[in-house]
Formats: sequence, structure tokens, C-alpha cells
Amino acid sequence: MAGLREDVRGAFRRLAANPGSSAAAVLALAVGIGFSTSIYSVADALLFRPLPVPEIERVILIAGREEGAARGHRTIAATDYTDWKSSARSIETLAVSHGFSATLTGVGDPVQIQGAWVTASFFDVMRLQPLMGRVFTSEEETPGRNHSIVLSQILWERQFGSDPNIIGRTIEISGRKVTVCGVMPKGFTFPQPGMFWVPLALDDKAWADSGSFYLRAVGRLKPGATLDEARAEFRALAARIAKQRPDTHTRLSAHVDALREQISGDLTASFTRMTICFVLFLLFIACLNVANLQLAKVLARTREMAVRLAMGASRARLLRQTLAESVLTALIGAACGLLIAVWSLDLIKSNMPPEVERWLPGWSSMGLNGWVLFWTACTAVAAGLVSGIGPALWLSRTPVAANLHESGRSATGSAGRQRLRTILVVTETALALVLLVGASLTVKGFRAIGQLPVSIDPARVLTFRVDLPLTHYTSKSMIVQFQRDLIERLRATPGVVSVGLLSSLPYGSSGNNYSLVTIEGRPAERGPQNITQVQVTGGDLFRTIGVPLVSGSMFTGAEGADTQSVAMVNQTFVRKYFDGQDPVGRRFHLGDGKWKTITGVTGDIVQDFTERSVGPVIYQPYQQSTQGAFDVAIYTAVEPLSLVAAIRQAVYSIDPQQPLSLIRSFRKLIDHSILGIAHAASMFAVVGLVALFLAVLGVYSLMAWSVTERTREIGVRLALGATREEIRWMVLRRGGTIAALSLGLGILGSFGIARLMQGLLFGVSATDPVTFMVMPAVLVCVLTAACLLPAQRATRTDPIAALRHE
Amino acid sequence: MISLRNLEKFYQQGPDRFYVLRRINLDIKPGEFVAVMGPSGAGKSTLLHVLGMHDTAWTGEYLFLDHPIHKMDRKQRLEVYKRHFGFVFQSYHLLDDLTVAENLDVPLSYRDIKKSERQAIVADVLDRFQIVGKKDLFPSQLSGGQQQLVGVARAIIANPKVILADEPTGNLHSSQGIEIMEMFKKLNEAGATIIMVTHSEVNASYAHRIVRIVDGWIEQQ
Ligand SMILES: Nc1ncnc2c1ncn2[C@@H]1O[C@H](COP(=O)(O)OP(=O)(O)O)[C@@H](O)[C@H]1O
Ligand SMILES: [Mg+2]
Repeated sequence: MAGLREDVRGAFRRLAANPGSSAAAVLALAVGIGFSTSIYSVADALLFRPLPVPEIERVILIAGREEGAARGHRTIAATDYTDWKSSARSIETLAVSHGFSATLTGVGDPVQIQGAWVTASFFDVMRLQPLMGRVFTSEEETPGRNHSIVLSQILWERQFGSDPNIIGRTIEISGRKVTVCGVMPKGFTFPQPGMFWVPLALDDKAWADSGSFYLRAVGRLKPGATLDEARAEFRALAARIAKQRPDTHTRLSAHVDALREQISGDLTASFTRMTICFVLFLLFIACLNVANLQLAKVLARTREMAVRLAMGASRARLLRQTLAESVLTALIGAACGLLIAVWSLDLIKSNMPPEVERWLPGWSSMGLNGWVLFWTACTAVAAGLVSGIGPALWLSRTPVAANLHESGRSATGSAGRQRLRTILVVTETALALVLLVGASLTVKGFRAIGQLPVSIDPARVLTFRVDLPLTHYTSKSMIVQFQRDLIERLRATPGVVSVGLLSSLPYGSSGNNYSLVTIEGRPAERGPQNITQVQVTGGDLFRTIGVPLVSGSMFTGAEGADTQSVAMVNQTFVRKYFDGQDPVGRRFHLGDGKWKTITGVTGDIVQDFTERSVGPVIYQPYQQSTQGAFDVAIYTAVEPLSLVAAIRQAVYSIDPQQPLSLIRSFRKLIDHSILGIAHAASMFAVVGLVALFLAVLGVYSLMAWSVTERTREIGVRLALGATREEIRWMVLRRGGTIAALSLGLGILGSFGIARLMQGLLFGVSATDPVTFMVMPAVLVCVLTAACLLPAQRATRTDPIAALRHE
Repeated sequence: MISLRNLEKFYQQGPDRFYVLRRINLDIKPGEFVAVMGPSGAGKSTLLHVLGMHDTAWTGEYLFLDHPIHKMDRKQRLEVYKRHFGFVFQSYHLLDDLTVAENLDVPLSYRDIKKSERQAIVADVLDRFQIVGKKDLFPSQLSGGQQQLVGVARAIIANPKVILADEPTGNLHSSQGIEIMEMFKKLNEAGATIIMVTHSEVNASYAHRIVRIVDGWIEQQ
């Protein structure tokens, strides 16, 4: 091992002797390793340890899913919980929860807080001890005895100023008096955004209801049980239940996922994984780049190496020497990379709005920690070894004798030496193209989905959400009254142009309602082809958000519970159920036999960017189909946010207890919903551009080196009558060959990555022809630029100097 | 054929001019075989490169077949060179990545000659130099003498009037050297004008005339 210390010292000396190329190598690796480190931090926070739950990998989510569907997580019925709990062998505990959007009153202004009804077993599944107080007992699952509440640390801190005497205090949420019995530890926010928990208390009738699907199940695997076993078991279980309860469970299967996979949404997990791929590719490119620089250095030492070999040095020893140099370079690069990581993490975190952050558990705890540093160190060593590959290959092939015989550098040919470097550079450039295509597909898709096809500027529309507590609004007419008053008061507010209500605005991600539709004169069919989205609307919604009326007329506002039941539908609905014929005047019902007459057709609008195509939608007037939770959109003549106070006042004058949530412009709402893609797109774009830069650097250094290496050859050719133009072309042709090879490989690879990313691309086709033409063209231009300088230098070769043989 | 008048060349070294060629007056007739001799560093190679038009930074007059080279621009000089000159190097300077046949093809590729014609010319020269059997070998597979033979073949392949040779036998055994000199003699008899730098009196004896250079000056006989 004494030899090792010597090797390291030698490596240091050689790095110092060649500061320019060493700095370039360190910089390339620093960028690659720095980005890896920051994405490791993101992955660690979002994927691996999103919640402070012990053995989180054993916690699973069990959801319903239509048989044969590839995606989708449906809530389950109460009977599923009891059926599963009594039969499933792969899990040790099972719990269900149901979201509860409550209004907290009595502590400052009323605020909207999101929590959940949970069974007492919920905290057993999570295996979490409260920070203080206790969690629920099974007695509290009885209706009438469920008066406790467990607070999250964040709610305790924000709303109660971390009051140490909180336990036993009585508070009011949505009109219910509850007693605080516990506070959970920091960072525990499940189910998202998890600000409080109250016991789920159902009576026997509710537990026996197999037709209402509203619960979410979470369980803990038994020690030794695997995810696959649980998947198989629940699928079998669901198949049995489907037979036992044909009325409600036909074609319904069950799907099991690890909690960490789903907690931030499956897209977040996939995007994080894809980003890791991108960043590792980038790192690999950086390694190839460094390998190339190292190879150039080793080639320059050909004679020295040959002499050492001839004097009895083992190849292994020489290999260790050059590897020591690469690994040392990578470790220095990693140290610099940490700076890049800290900086880019700051950037990533500061760009996350709180509205979105609360859906991402673990986000706030994101940072460089021991695990991340450990992975960074592993990455650095691996990168060092990979970047030592060039010299290693060369050393394993180079014959001793030939390099001693010949005068070392007299050779006018260097095809062999060039080939290895060319392979490295071509690989690097091809990979860069792959990343560029992947990045620009994502960016293009992102830009496309951010542009809703509406005729107004979303920045001029103010939106917010209202969630009327059913404890106060005990009848439909009360809700309708609130909505009617709200529309009127808002319309009367100065600066407001028009007002609309909708169950769920496009991109609003507050959950959509679906129903089976039966068209008059056709047999009632149950099946996915007859499922349509149902929205409830009020005011001038379509004008407010810029969706056109295609035929018929808008709702008048005079609809009522006792007037004719009417509905509007979107164009897709017309195409799907009426073959594009004008449906105005036709009727349908939603499974309840109550006929609704179509009075108008609106333009299509995407409800959710993950939709590959717009689905059929039915709009009903709020007076005829009541929903207490809805979005409000206001088209304003002034800066939208300047109206917030006036709007609060308007709501206050109707119901002083009613909070508003998610107040933001429609533009912000859209932007927030695609923020994850924005993050991925910008990350990919940065990675793609850095990759392109490294590839250009690689090609440039190869061309520059090869021109130097071929000085004599160029001299000879000039002496044999070649013109400067011919020399320039000779060099450019070589560059062209490299570009052509990289382009070929890169385009193949790009189709590969596009296929891989298919599930993550929205608003753009995975084989988008423009991207596949423009990106290679960009690469060609940039590579040409990288070759021009060396080519120009080649033409300035002085044949006399080149041919001087002394 | 070649006529140099008051030709001078110097290198600027700081404020000083370092003369390599001084007031060179030289006439070479068509079909002549001239040996250039002199000590190392005397300026022989420099003179050859001036004649071969690789070097353009000199003063004085250079007439080739009555054309004033000194008045031509680089392009025109290159044209004259391509049509009339061939060059043989001391260290052969074959291109290592190309076979013998491909090496011979290089000068032709820089002249306006059709591919099929080029193949015929290469085949013909391989034949004349009796190296047909070696045409697919790479330079590293040849001995020094064979390599220089290819070097000479390459120099004459475009059918030049003048062959410039800078110490063509400098790296060879004397027996190999004689083989090359016999080849030069044959080429000269066939009409080529040859200007050859050499250190060997034996080789110089093949020439009709010896020009001696010392410190950039031509010694008068
Ligand atoms: N680029 C240069 N700068 C300065 N001096 C040069 C340069 N090239 C050659 N010389 C000098 O010119 C002189 C003549 O060189 P050369 O013609 O090669 O001599 P030789 O007669 O040995 O062939 C030498 O003294 C050499 O040092
Ligand atoms: Mg010389």
C-alpha cells in the first residue's frame, strides 16, 4: 500500500503539471456529480423517505381499479375494508381514511384546513407515537363518541403557537366541538396535506354499505411479505368480492402500491426517476469527456509508458497510476460538485410555491444528508473509474516493442490512437443528443399544456375555492341560496366583469365527478364507454373562463329545482353520443331516471393535463344539482389580486364563518398544476444543455488534438500538393464523420428515450417530428462550429516546420 | 529551366535578421542532375523548400521555365508546383494509415485526375518500381529502403519535370542508398531534372554537378 500513497502523490503532481486540462476535467465532473447530488436529495426526500414513518417501505396503499385498466386509483367502499381486514394474510394492519376539508373557527380568522377521518388502526399502520398526548382508541370509532382530534405539528405550530397546554383543549372545526388529544411529530402529513386527524366513526349501516366508494385504504405488510404477494392476494380477494357483490363490485379489481411510490403522486415518482436517469447520463457524458482528456494525456506519455513496461513495470501498476489520477480528479470534482448541489437545491426549493409544497411530503426536509453524501461519494468513485476507462483500454492493448522502436511521435499515422478517442466522443455526443431530444420533448409538452385553448387571458381571472361545511349547510336550498347570493354580490363588486361557479375548474385538481349516462331512446348500458364527467356550474362560467358556446344557449340563471331539468354538454359528448349531430332538445339521465334536456353545447376544454384527449362532460345548473364544494372564477377589469379584500368582504357579508381557500389567478392555478412538469422540464433542459456543451467540448478537444497529432501528415499532404482548402475539408470531413455517427446513434437512442418517457409526455407526441428534426440540426450546427477552429488551424500548418525531422 | 537571382532568406530573431540564404544565384538546365552539399545548418533544406515553393518568405527573383515565381501569389505557385515538382523526404514521410498503393494515390488525389485514371497510373508506377507485391502493405511493414522507394515513386507519380530530394538516403544503409540512387539515375535519363541534397560523396557522384552551400552562401567552383 506504500505504492498507493506514491501513486496518489504522482497523480497530484500530474494534475498540477497540467492545470488547464485538470481544471476542465474537474469542472466537467463537478457539474455531473453536483447535479446527481441535488437530484439524490430530491429523490431521498420525495421517494425514499417522504414521511418520518418507521419501515416506510412496508406501508402500502390499496385502491380499487377497473379490471384491465393501466392507471387509476379508486376509493373503496366500507365493506371492502371489512372484507379485506378479515381475509388478507399479507398485511398485519389495515386502516381507512376519508378526506375532511374543515373550517377551523375560534382561533383568529376562520381558516380552511385539510385533514382526514381515520380509523384508530391508522396510527398502528404508521407505527407512530405522538409528539405529545395520545392517538385514538377503538372506542372512539363509535358514532357519538368521536370527539377527539389529533393535530399535526405544523397546525399546532401555526394556529396554536405551539401551545404546550394544547392537550385537552376544545376547538371548533366546521361547527363540531372536538378535544385535542394528541400532536403528531414534525413532518408527518399523511394523507396529504394531513393537518389533523379525527376518528372515523360509522354506524353498522354505513359499514355495510358496499355501494359508496369514498374511503382510502392503507396497510402495513407483515414482516417477510412482499409487495408482489400483497398484489396477488388483493387481486384474488377483489375477484372473489366481485362475485359476492355483483351489484356494486362487478369488474372492480384492487391495486396495491408502495406508499412511497404514490404519496407524491405517481407522476412525481416517475419524473424523479427520469431525472435521475438524465443526470446519470449527464454524469456519464462528463466521464467520457474526462476519459478523453486522460487518454490524450496518457497517449502523450506513450513512450514513457513503453519504457516503464520494458523496465518491468506491470500493466496493473500503470493502470493503477492512471486510475488514481482519474479517481482523484473525480473526488475533487465531487467536492466542487457539492457547491453546485447546494446552489441548485436552493434554487429548486425557492421555486416551489407553498400551495404545491404541501402536497409533497418530505419536501421541506430536503437537503444534503448523510445518505446523499454517501451516494455522492460512491458516484464520484464510480465516475473516476469510468473516466479512467480510456487509458485502461489503451494500456491493455498497447504493445511495448512498437512504441520503443519507432521514434515515439514520428508516426504520421495515428488511426489507432484516434479511434479510441473517436469512439468516446461519438458515444458522448450521441448521448447528448438523446438528452437534448428528451429535454425538448418535455419542454415542448410543458409549453403546450400551459396554454389552455381559452379566449381570455387566464391572468385576468381570479379563482378561489369554497367548501361549505355540511354541518352548517344542512339542506340543498341553503347551499343554492349561498351560491345565488355569492354570484350576485360578486357581480356587484366594482372591477368584476363576470362571475362563474364550477365544481372543479380545468387543472384545478380538486377531484372530478363521473357518472353513467343513458341517452333517451337507447338501452341503458353499464360500462366505461358510457361514463361521463359531471360538472355543476353557475353564473357566466363559460364567458368568464373563455370557453365558447358552440350551439344552443347558455343557462339563463333562472333555472330552479322545480323547472325543467336542463344540461349543457361539451363537443366531445356530442361527437361521442350523437355522432356530431346537434343534440339540443335531446334528453339523457344519469342513472336515476330523471331526464335532463340538452340546451347548449360548449367548446372542449381539457380538465387535467394528464388527459390524452378531452372526455365527454355534462354541465348542470347549480340550482338543479347541488354541490357544496366548488371553484369560483371572476373575470376582472382590474388587477385580479387587488379584488381579494372586496371579495372576502362579499363572502363575509353572506356567511362570516366561511373561509376562502386557494385564492390565485387562473394563470397561477394552471401554473401550479403543471409545476411538477415545469420542474422536470427545466431540469431536463439544463441537463440537456450542459450535455450539449460537454459534447461540443469533447468534439472540439478531439479535433484540436487530432490536428496536432496529424501535423506531420498535414505537412506531407501540403508538400504533395494539397491546397489549404483541401486540408480544411479533410479536417471537416472527419468532424462530419463524427457528427454523422453520433447523429445516427443519437437519433436511435432518442427514439428509445422518447418511448421510455411516453407516459411522462403531455401535450406532445413522443415522436414529435419537429423535435426530431430540429435537435439533430442544432447538434450539427454546434458541432460544425466546434470543428471550424481546429480546421482553420490545420490550414495554417507550415509544411516546412511540420516536416523538419531533426 | 530554373533561375535564381539574388535570392535571400532570413529569419527575424528579435531585432536581428538571421540570414539563412544569401544572394543566391543559381541556374539549372532541363535534364540536369544537381547535388547540393554543405555542412549541417548551411541552408540546403531551406533552398530546396524555396525551390519547391513551400517557402514563400524570401526576396529576389525565381524564374521557372521563364515564369516569374516571385510575382505569383500562393495559389499560382501551388499550381506550378503541382504540375512540375515532386518531393522526396529524408524520413520518407509515408502516411502510416494508408497502404503503399493508397500512399501513391495521395498526390494524384490533389490533382484533377479521374479515379479510374488514377488507378491505372498507380498500377503502372507500382509495376515500374517493381513493388506490385507490396501494394497492400502498410509502411510499417516495409524496410527503410523499400519505404524510400515508395517515397520516390510517390514523388514521380504525377509525372513532374523536377524532382527535389532532401537527403533521400540519409536514413538508409549504403546498399539501400545505392538502389535509390540507381532509381534517380534512371529517372534522370528518362528526362527528369533532379536536385538532391546529400552528405555522401558517393551519392553526389551520380550528379552532373555539385553545388556547395556554406552559411547560406553558394561557394563558387
Ligand atoms: N523557423 C526557423 N527560425 C529560425 N531559424 C531557422 C528556422 N528554420 C531553420 N532555421 C535555421 O536555418 C538554418 C538552415 O536550416 P536548413 O536549411 O534546415 O539547414 P540544412 O542545410 O541542414 O538543411 C539553420 O541554421 C536553422 O537553424
Ligand atoms: Mg536539411
